[in-house]
Amino acid sequence: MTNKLKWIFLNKKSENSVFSLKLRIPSCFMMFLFISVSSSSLFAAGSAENYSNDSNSTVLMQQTISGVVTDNTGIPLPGVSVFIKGTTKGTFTDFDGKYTLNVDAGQVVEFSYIGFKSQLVTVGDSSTYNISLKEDAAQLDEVVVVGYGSQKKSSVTGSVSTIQAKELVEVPVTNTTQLLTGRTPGVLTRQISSEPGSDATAIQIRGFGTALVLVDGVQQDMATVDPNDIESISVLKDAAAAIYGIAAGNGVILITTKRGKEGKVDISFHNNISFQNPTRFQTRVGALDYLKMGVTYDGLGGIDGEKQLELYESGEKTTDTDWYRAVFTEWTPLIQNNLSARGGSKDLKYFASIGKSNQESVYRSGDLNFVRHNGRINVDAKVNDKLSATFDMSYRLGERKAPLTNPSQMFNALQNVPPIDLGILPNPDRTSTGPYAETRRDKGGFRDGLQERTNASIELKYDLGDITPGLSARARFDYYSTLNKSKTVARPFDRYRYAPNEEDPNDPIYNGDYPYIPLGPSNSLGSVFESVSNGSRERSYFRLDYKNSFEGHNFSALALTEYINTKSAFLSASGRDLLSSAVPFLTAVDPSTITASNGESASKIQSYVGRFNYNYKKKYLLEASVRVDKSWRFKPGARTGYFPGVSAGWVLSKEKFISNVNAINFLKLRASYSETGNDAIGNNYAYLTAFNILDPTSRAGINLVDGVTGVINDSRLPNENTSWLTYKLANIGLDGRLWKGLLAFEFDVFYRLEDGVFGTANDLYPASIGAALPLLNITKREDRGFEVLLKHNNRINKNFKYNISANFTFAQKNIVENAEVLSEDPEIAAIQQREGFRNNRFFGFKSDGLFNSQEEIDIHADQDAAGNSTLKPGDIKYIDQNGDGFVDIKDNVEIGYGVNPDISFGLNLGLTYKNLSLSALFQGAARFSTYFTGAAAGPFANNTIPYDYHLKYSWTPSADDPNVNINPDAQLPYITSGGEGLNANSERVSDFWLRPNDYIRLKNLNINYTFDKELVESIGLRSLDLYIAASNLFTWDKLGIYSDTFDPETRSGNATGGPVTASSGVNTQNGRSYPIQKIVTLGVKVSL
Amino acid sequence: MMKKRNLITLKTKVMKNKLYILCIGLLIGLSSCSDDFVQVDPTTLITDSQVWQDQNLVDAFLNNVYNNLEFVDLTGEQNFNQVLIASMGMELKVGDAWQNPYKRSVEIINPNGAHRSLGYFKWAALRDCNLIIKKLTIESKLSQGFIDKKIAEARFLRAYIYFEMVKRYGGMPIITDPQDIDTPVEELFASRNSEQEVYDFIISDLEEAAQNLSTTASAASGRATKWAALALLTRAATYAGSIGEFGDMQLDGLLGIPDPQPFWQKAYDTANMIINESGHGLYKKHGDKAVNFQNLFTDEDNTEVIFSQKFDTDLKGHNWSVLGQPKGILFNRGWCANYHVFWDTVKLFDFVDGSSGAISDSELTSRRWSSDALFGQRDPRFRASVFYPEAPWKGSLYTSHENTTNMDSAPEGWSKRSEFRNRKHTGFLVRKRIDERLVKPPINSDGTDYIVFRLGEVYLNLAEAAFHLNLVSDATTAINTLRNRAGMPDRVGLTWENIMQERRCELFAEDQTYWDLRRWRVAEQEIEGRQLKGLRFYYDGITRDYRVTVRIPETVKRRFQERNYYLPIGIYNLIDNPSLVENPGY
Repeated sequence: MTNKLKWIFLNKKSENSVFSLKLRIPSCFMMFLFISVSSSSLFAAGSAENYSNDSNSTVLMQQTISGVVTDNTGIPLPGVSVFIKGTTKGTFTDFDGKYTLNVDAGQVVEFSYIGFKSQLVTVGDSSTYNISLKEDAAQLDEVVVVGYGSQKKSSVTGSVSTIQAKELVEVPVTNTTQLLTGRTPGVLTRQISSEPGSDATAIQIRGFGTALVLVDGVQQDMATVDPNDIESISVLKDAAAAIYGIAAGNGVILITTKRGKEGKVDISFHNNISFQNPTRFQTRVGALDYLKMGVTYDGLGGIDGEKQLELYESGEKTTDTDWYRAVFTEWTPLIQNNLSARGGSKDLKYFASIGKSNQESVYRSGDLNFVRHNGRINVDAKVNDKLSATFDMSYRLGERKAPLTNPSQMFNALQNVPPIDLGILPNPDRTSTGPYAETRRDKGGFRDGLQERTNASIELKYDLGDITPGLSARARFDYYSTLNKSKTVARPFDRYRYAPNEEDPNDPIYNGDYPYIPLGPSNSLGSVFESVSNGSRERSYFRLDYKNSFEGHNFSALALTEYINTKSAFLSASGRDLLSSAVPFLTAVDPSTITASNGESASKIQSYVGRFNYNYKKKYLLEASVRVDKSWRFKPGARTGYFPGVSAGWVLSKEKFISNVNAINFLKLRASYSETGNDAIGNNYAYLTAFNILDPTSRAGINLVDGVTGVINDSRLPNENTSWLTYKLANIGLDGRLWKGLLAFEFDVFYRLEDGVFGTANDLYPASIGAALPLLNITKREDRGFEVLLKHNNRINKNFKYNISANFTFAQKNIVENAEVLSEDPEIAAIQQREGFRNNRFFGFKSDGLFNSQEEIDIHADQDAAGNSTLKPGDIKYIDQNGDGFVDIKDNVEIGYGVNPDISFGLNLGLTYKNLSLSALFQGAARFSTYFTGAAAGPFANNTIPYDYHLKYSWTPSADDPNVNINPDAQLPYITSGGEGLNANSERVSDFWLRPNDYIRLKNLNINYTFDKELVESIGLRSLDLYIAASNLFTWDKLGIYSDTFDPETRSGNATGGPVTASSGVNTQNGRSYPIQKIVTLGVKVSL
Repeated sequence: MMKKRNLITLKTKVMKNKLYILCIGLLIGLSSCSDDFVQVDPTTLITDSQVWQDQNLVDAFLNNVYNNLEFVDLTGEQNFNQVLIASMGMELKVGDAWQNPYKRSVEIINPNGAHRSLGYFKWAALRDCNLIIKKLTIESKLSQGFIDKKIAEARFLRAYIYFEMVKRYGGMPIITDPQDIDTPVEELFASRNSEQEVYDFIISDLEEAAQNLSTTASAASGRATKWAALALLTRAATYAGSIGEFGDMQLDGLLGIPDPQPFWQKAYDTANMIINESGHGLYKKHGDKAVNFQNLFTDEDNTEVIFSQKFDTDLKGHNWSVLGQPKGILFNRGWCANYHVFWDTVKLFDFVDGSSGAISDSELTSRRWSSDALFGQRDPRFRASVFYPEAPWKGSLYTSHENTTNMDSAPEGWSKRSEFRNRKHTGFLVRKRIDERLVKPPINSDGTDYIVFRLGEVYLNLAEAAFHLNLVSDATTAINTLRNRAGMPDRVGLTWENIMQERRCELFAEDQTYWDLRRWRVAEQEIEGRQLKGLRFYYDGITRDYRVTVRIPETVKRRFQERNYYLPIGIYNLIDNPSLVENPGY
């Protein structure tokens, strides 16, 4: 196992000399780790024997005891550990709570179970010991990972949500970022795409912005962690995050990976296979409808519609390609494997895991896929009584293989290819134009990417208890490195149209090649683009921890100094005119066409952290922290930011007046206040007057004027006073557990003020200044909201238990202050003004359906600045809001929400009946919207093929009178002629094309079967689970007529819209987004 | 108490025993107290002080201005904005209805402002020019010769920016200093200068620039020369003269030129100077007049070219030939045959015998026409500028007939129906500037330079100015010089209409006609309410000629109202700078 791991890592290294050169430091760690892991596994193998419950080993005076372990209500407890105290010999209860153990008389057996008080029994004459364990409130108290440490949940004074490992692994996700969706209050997520390798879910804590993600304390991309490796996830939402100071103002997500455990080595294998299918298929009109509409509306481009229609109507031609289904296949596989080993002795514990996943795309060609390899080793070693050390190492390799055309371009091709063309040509050597060819690597070329993420950490901890008890010192060094490579190759290939019966055979253009019409090459010159970028983040810290308690007073303190240093660089080169398309190498291009580009950057941050915790009898809780950060981004002298946080808790249930209330088991009131900061001003060196060198491979970066070819431009005007953006965040929370856990709740209200948001004072200066305005700390924003978590756990009998957990989050961002100068015209000012309003809003005209007659147009306010002379029945009618007789800029109003949801909620259900368990997660979001544009809005725009809904819902003029509509379902404007797409009237930004994205979906469903222990052990395993799971099975949304075609979470882009002033923008959908997938998974988990 | 004691104990013990542990911490902590510890020097930025003391950096900065000026607009999806002006000027129509120039032509000008690609507010480039002039004057220690030359280039570019603005909007604020955030408010929110002041400013900048710019008559560099500055000067003066001649004074003098005479004189003198002194000459390399005129635009750096924007197939190409060339002849990509020339434009080109090219619809449809009779005998500039049925192309023939009767008798290789794209709207396509040598060019691979100024236009400016200065014989000479070169008979008794027609033929599809129609104040009668025409051709294989019908490919009526002689400043700009005044009628 470890040898295999070692081999994989070393092999990777030798394969890739760049990698090994760059990672000299982590390589040293690796060597160290491998040595230590090898030895630990030997040790573990030895110690495993101690654990074996081997009845053959003869021990003097041995006897067998057995019994049933139950809780205080008599319900059997499975999995209770039954061990002989002081030894490593023992067993666990089975599903019915039964155990059998060989002991010596007089030995003490310890029964322990999480959430219950341990019980000791001295073995006497009896051979049956039935044990009833008592619940231990203190033990129910899970340990929660917080900043630079962990705390008992009951003592936490901040707003912290946690998710434990067991909730996560049986859910089919293609990207770790998807794990958080719907599971915890305060987390707003959005999955925009399911494209393999680019399917990360956007996560915002309370709508604040991009959260800081730390994996075992190291800042990194969440997607790099294998869900199987995760022990727990903590989401720090208030002052709890303040200790991370810089960049922690948007909240912090702490991911803790699994570590070694003392005991028998536990080797687990988790394998699942999933099948993915789009949640919504785009449906377009068939060949006959296409031709009929195309002839009517002159939207067929170069196709002779009338002739084609004749051929179809006479039955001579029947080709009717559903291109979406021709290009996409259904139920494509995703295979994920993970193998891990976990164990150790008192002095050396380890966790090691390797994983692999292979995700196919919806492309029928099979040429778009993503493969992930990952490995992790976490080792805890105790050197002596005082010194202990941890070594962590993780590695992730992601490889994307893709055809040259990106999905957006492919969908563009898909929108333009008529159903009368044959999808895949009878002669496989002939490739048609259009989307199928665009999904093939062997035709147009490819666009491959590789990402490596490596982390190595070492921490030494020295117990300074001999100075004073409770004092310890730690030093840590992390090295996180990233390597991205990409290679894009464009290759020419000949394209053909298959057109029997279509063209005049006398036409010389395709004599000899009939019925294929050559459409010429796709790309006349082959080209190669390659780029490599790498980055590293080094972090080191030194810290002192102190912990002490006396007479009910509990103290702990932390002092820490931290230094983070990052570097990144990229180099890219490209060339054209491949020697042959068979040799897609940079070395095979015409050397005179090679161009290159590079860049590098670095950053440094230094911090001092102090924290003090105090509680009195765990009843009155107090935490205070301060962090001092120095950032390289600001001018010397203005680099320091001070970020204090304070929080307090009062465990009411420990007060007499409440502890007497039987129903209340636990009740805690929390309050916190913190200040954090952000230096991400969007422009490094905002304090310098500086000039940029433009990328020489871009059009803007090269000048052909005789002489110097390079181009430089002046960056924005400097502002030496640019400084920290600060966040002031207050939170009040109430946690409680009632009726012995039948109901638990957490309730939080928060308020955050963002002071000094970086912006440009565009309103204060006219455009004629001609310069990019400096970044100033000008805007003040606030976030308000609340979140609720309700949990209900119940056990009906020994076979049946269930739990329900519901969470709800509401978060709204408002603009408090904004450097804005409003127009003197109050109506325009009303549209311009952002100060005092929500951020998440979108402006445009309000529509009032369609004009149904010329009379309606004639009496309506002038909306085309030409007395409505350009309008026809079937055009969109806009409301003259101010009643001045003109529909103009002044009639713009708020018409909808923006990009991100304000509301998110989730409902988790869990049922366990005997060996069978079921869990379901419903998840939803509200208050965000999508704007339909392009081919999704108007058909025949540049010959795009109409969607089904265009045929069904367009205002359709009667053949006799073009002013009369014959479609009773008409909801969309008339279809324009000549390939115009939406006409100018329809193109106005209005609520006509806006739909709320609100949705509820069955995000996850999981049915798990755990095999009986006896059965499993009889075949030499420790445990065996089979499960079937699904993601995104059902969705309910408000997209209306677009609902059959588009998923509410996808979008193709983001447009800032609305006149005069930019609002927060809006999601757009033009039909070119990779579809969200529903996933059905079969999984097996085996433990040896 | 206890806590305090513990802390004291801690302190002493650490000092004594475990000093080294804290030493590490202190080393990290104390050594790094200053802000310098987190200093990161820029790796890719150049500082202000470096730029102005280094010739190459000054040139690289100037390059940014050259790049940003958009001598030819290459924006828009598939770069279709490059025919926006030609499309507005009724010369051509793009292939598809969704394409910008067509789609926007209805709504392109409205009170919210002109569409982005028609508008022109190059404030950033203007600031860069002002910055170069200021910094080189005040700070730079580079050689005076270099400084003078670069300032001259900046002045040329600044004049170009102002000319592009004034021809659209009339008077605009003249800003000659690079502004900063602490520039006084009254200076920042500048009011409009008058149209006269802007033209005067342009001319003075150019006169000053001309003194220090290179006098070499080569356009090969793509860099402004003395003659480029003077060519812009004659163009600007001609524009100003015609506005003075035909336009009205409006907006309290902000719009309009009170007296055209000084501008006509300036245009006349400068044009003469260029023709006589520059060394530039009309392109006359080929005996065949049509071939000669055709190659004028693709034979780079020829003597007629005064200033051009440089392109290169590999480094920086454009799409003109890709999007423009006909479909079917050695070229089959989807995107081609996009620039359809209207029959109305074709009629402007007279026949080589001097007879009018304006054949009436009734005459056109009353008889059959051979290609030679209808097109082959027209002005060679027509044959060089437009694809017409049976125009020779790449060793074959361009065709655009709808159908062929008596196909059996048709010439060998004749197709029954032409490629749809070629005959989609009018039957004609633009040929000017399309490079016949480019076989199957990929996107953005046309390296043909875009000619900004050529001597041909200078003759036209001269003619126009001379005519209005009552120097009709000079005007006639200038016009006839061009007609001679083109292979057309001399004009006698030159009229104003002759001059306008000559300019529209000579400069067809060179982004000039729209502006000319405006400044001559004839756009209202020429454009308003027009739906321009195309032709359909039906070939007969026996008689080998065509039956021709007239079609109207434009689905909406073109609009040009009186207010459109100036573009709107636009509501966004008025809000942005309340000191600006909107043009009349918006």
